[in-house]
Amino acid sequence: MSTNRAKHLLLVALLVAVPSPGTAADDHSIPLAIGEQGFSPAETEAPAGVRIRFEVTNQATGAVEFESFDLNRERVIQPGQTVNVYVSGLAPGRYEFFDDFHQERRGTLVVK
Amino acid sequence: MIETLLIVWRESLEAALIVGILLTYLARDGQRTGMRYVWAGSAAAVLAAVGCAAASDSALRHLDPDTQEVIQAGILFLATGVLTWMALWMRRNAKALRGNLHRGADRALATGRLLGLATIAFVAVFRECMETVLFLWGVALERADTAGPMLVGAGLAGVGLAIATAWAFFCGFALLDLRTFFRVTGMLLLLVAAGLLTSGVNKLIGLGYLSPLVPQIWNTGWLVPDGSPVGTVLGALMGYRSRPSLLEVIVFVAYFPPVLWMFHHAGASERQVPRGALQRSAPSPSPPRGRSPEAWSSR
Repeated sequence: MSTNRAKHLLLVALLVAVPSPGTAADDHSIPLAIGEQGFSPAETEAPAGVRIRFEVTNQATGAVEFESFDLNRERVIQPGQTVNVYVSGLAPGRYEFFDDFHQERRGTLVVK
Repeated sequence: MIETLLIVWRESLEAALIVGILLTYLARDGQRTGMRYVWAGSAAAVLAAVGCAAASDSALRHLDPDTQEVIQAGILFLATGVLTWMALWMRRNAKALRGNLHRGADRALATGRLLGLATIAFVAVFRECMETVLFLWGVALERADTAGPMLVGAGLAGVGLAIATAWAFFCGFALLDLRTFFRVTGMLLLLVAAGLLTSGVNKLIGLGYLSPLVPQIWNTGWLVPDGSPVGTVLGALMGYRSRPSLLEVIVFVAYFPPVLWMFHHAGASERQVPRGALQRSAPSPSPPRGRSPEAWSSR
């Protein structure tokens, strides 16, 4: 079997083996906006163990990057765009996120 | 201004490291031609990225953001494939060079392999370049009062810093002996490929297409924080994250067994072809069309 064929099969096997995420209705959605003043809301809450959907809107004039070391996510967002970033099954605690392109803009997710 | 420089430095670092690995290997191997192809691929990528960003700045905004992210994940997976293939080719090629065989088939394929080198440099640089150009574009838009040249200067300085970082990183490699050097750079390339694969999977998890299995299997932030200098280099080089999901860890680890098997196999197949094969076989008056010299001698 050729190298590429083997890699494709491995990828397909992985995708099939992975359980599909829950339906959108089960998600805990958190609308977030990034603007010149930073994140709004700057602090937000969510219950533990659910899938969280950050609905992040870029209200600034330049590109922003929604990033978090604590959540292991990074996503570049163009001005005016709204993107969905999913995080699931978090343990209780505080998780910080920030705009990687303007690091003074920071926010916190509190999971209870 | 400083932030722009730092951001561009970080974004460019990954591309600089990948290109740096290729160039260091080729320089040590004495392959000047290969190095030229890597430079050409990188230059083409910079031009393509600037051209793409300029031409489609507005078009990109109309493209669904999730589609953009999936395309980026796809580019990461493509880069994984090309990097793996190149690492395998380098392994095979090193032995062939030492064996000093002149095989017609090899020469015919040589151009294809050189293009492979250019492709990998292109893919590595293009991705980071697009992000960087779009970022700088955005910064220029929001700071309309700042002089354009200063921003471009900060961006270029960031790229220069990335190249300098990669250069310093690889300077230490000159101290290694040849055998160790090739081993280490080959391994590095595989680690980079595994990191790119994991980053692509991370993107798909963030999009909600894949389940992380367990969201944060461990936290090594106490040892190597993500934002620290070591963390940044490790992150750029092999996709290190302090709080990875189980799926990402599995993907990273699972990459190696099949690839290392192919590595070993690539070395073994070289030994099967006897060196004297070309001299031993007596060429027939009318050789069959389309068959290489090795096929004549193999029974």
